[in-house]
Amino acid sequence: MGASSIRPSRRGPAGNATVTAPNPVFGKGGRLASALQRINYSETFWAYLFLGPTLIGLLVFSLGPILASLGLSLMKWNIIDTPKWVGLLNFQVLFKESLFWKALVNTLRYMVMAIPLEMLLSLVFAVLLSRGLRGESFFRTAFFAPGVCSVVAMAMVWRQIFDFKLGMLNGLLSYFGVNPIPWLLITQTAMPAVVLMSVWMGVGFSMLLWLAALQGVPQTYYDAALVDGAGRWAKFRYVTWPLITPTAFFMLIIDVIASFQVFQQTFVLTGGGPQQSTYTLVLYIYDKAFRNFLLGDASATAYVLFFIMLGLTVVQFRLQKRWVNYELA
Amino acid sequence: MSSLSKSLTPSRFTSTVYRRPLRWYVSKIIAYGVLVVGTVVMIIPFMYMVSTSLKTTIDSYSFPPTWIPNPVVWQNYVDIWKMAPLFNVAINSIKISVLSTLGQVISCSLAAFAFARLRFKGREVIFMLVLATMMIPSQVTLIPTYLVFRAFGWINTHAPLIVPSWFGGAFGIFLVRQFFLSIPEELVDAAKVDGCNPFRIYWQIFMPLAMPVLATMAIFSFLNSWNDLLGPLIYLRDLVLMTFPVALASFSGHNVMLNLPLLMTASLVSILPTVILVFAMQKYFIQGIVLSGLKV
Amino acid sequence: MTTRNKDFSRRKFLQLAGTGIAGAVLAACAPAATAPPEAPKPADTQAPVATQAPAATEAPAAAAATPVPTTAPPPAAAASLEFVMNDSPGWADSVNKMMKMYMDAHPNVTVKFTPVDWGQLTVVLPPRFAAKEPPDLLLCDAFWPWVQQGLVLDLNPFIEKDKPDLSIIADKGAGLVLGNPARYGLPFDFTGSVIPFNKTHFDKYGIEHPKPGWTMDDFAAMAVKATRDKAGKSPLDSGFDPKNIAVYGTQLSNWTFFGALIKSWGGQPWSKDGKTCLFDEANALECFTFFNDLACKQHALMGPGGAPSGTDPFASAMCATSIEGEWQLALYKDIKDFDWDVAAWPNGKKENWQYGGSDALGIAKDSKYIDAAWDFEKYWIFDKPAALTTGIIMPPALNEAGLDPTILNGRMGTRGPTMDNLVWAYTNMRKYADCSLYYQSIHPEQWQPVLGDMLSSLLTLCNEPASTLVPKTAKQITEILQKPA
Repeated sequence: MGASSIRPSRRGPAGNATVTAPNPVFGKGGRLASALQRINYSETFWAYLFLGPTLIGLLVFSLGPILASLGLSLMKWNIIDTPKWVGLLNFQVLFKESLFWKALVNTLRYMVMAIPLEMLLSLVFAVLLSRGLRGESFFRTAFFAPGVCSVVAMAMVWRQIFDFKLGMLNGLLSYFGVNPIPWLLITQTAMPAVVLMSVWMGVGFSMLLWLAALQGVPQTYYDAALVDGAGRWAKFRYVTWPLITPTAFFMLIIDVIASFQVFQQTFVLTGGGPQQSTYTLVLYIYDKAFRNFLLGDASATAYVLFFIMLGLTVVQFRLQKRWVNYELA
Repeated sequence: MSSLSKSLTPSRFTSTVYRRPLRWYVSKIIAYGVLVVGTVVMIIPFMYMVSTSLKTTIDSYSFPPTWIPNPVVWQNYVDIWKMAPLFNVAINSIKISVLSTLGQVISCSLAAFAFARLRFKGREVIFMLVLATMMIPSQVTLIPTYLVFRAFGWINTHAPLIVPSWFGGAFGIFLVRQFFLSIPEELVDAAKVDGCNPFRIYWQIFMPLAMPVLATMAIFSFLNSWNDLLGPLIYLRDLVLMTFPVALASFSGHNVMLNLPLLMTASLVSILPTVILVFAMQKYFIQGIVLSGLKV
Repeated sequence: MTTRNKDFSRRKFLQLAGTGIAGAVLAACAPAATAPPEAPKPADTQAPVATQAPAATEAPAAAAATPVPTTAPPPAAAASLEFVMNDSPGWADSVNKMMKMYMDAHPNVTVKFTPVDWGQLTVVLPPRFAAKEPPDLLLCDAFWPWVQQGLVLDLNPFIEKDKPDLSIIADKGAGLVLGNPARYGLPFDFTGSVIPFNKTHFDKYGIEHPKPGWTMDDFAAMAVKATRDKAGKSPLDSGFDPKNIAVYGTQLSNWTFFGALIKSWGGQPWSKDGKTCLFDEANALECFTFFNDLACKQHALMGPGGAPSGTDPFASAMCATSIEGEWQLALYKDIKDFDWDVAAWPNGKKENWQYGGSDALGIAKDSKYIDAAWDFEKYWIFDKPAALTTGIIMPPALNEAGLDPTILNGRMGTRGPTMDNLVWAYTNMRKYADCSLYYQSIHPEQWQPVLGDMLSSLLTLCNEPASTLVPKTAKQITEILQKPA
């Protein structure tokens, strides 16, 4: 965009330079307007204007406490006395504690089970529901309904469903002749049970995102593929999938971050048991902070968690070149 | 609505009799089958809640569980209503959630536009910073955040639950940014040629296009705020300021221990507002997403 | 996106890190700075501020006419009592009633009761402690970390100054002994376990009611007889179907009861210094085996996780008797479906012990109205009318109020129990009380789940015999107890 002239020409209709009054400040031809016009090269100014609220919020509400806890991770603080500087001691203690590693492994187990299951299921449902089948809106609402409920309330219900002697799940299984399974009471089934409930709650929203993405695939591509003789699977693989990869990317990032922070499901369903098999990292942090009053240790753990998630996110951002296609114009 | 089935019957065949291949019927049956099974799995816990809440205590302990209560008992719903004055609480929840959501939509879309379409130094760093805020578990920032709010004097008011939403949020920014990134550059360039400043581009081009994404984000933000238990729990003291999740959590701590149906009734009541919301709003946002053909 | 610029280069990372560390240094100064010594303002939202004029208006309830505390600054005695919301309904009402009595006697003092659920206290209170705005009075003995962090005052100086008569409090080492010799709280209640039984069910099957003097073996036999499957058969009948039990003889899900149970068998749960777990000693092991058999071999006992969580198995007639806390009696008042009564625990194999102990009320160190809080605490615990008011729901610690007819009458429901049995149950509970498991304070958050898993295995899953599981668990718990604090 070429720079417009700085001042409107002073040549009056007669073509002569006329001495006029100095340009007014406000109004259409005024100095302010022209000054603002000038600023279009400074996207930075606009950017900071747009980002203003976010930056303030970041600083005051997010970064402040976050940096405070970063600082706390290098100290010992039991909430009431003044914090004591201990350097990297918290981290050293942390890495030696077996419960931390157990929590980390549990969190990874959760992630590995929950994310693929949820993304896949929601994609399948979304694909099925974007074809103009009858009753689509009913199905969509049904799938989305679990996700709007509060986790705590649904966890209480699922605890009943998973109940060993009287639970609905065992009741259904008994029709197939399966013996009652102590879902939340033994280590082999506790984490899968938590994953089941989480996926049940999360499928709806993921499906929504996939739906949005699928609708964005222009029909012309499908027609072109049809002309080329593509079958259903080929259509999906070569047309649909590449165009919905931005959504997949978004979902992956969000899901990884969310599953590392899984807390409410494990807290309410199992409390971390049995035998710590559903004890996840955030539960560990919670215990350290609120049960043991070791806020320094809790912060240190949180930062280890943070760096793991940050690392994974950065890796994903770098890898996105390989599989994500933005904006095919 | 883009639909695969339509493209299988292009118009030039309409003059001849065109029988759909068996494969077409089979695939439809499979599709419906999967959907029905999926729906059943999704809905079963709700059915269980409703059915149990209408049972007598003895009936609720039958195993295997029965679906039809025998006899049907409505008493629990009456009892729940007597137990907690939920009207006041509902007003609080609505006020907080609506105001938060509004703030989120505005501030997140502004920021997302900046990240997506404006070039400036430090853009990537700041975006990473914003994302990074999602990665710290809230348990650890709880106490420092509480101290910040206390310094402002906002404890025991609704402010800590509303004001931060007006200052951006990582999830919303990320979501809307992804969408904005997929709006073609040509639109922006054309607008620039016409002499639009970025705000006009944002307001007149991007926002209208983004309605469904904004709706999605609004729903998500609303639900988050509505279901938030931790925030009201620690920032609010007076009962008159309380919100739904706190009120319901506290009365499920006593009284309902007498029987399972009452517990189920309590849970049902606690999720009822949000489920009703979904049913009411699904026309706007779920279908809105579907009909507008946007990409995220 | 056409302009790909996602490189998070090392330089940018260092920039971030640098900012982070700078911020951390700043933040390090923050906690100290954010706790300014605030003078309480009338607009303070925490609790209505009230002033307490010096001794002249003090009610006679205060123990001694000791010299007026000249230290008391003009703004004084608003105490906001943060208290756990009990399972039993009516607790808030009774506490509010008692507080009103106090406020009427002390016109310048305002007391407020804020109910917070057990599970939520761990999250709600720490920020307040950090901000130096704790509740003035709190339940202190259930929250060992708070006591251990010094968040609660040692009451000994107050006790020495005012010398309340501690001998009149029924106490078996609970509220008075926290922190030996320091005392972090005084018991304001005394609760424990009783054994309710379903009279309708007993009479239907001709089972003898429990009577004073019954033993653990009597109890086991009764539980077996009371267990009935869907066809009405007990484990003693042929054709009994353990997969289809309609009513269990008894239930036991509260791990804290095992302290008293172990001692009934002549064992000890812990060593004297509390650092070794003695579950695997002969007597204690016998106790665990007893209940393991009752649950797994004779199918007469329902263990933890056997009933839907959040519900009461006795009240819903899933169990004919129950080894249950007396606090559930407030709920049982509403039982409509059957007649019931209570019994004291059976006599132990070697000694007589029952689960019983106190909840202690403590004063927060950072409270702004310490003297007023102490005054109120004394009132609640030692003043008989006050003790009786809240005792309707939670039995008072005060001896002379503990078995008062008002208290026992408060436990009457429409279909039970009888007064004689109530007297029997409560007298024994106070006489033989033990709370040793509950008060073990070394790393409780670590060994409690371990114990819970063991009981779940012994009493519900029945997947390992006591002879191997208990020693294994005892070793595990000992390891935890030996860890440094």
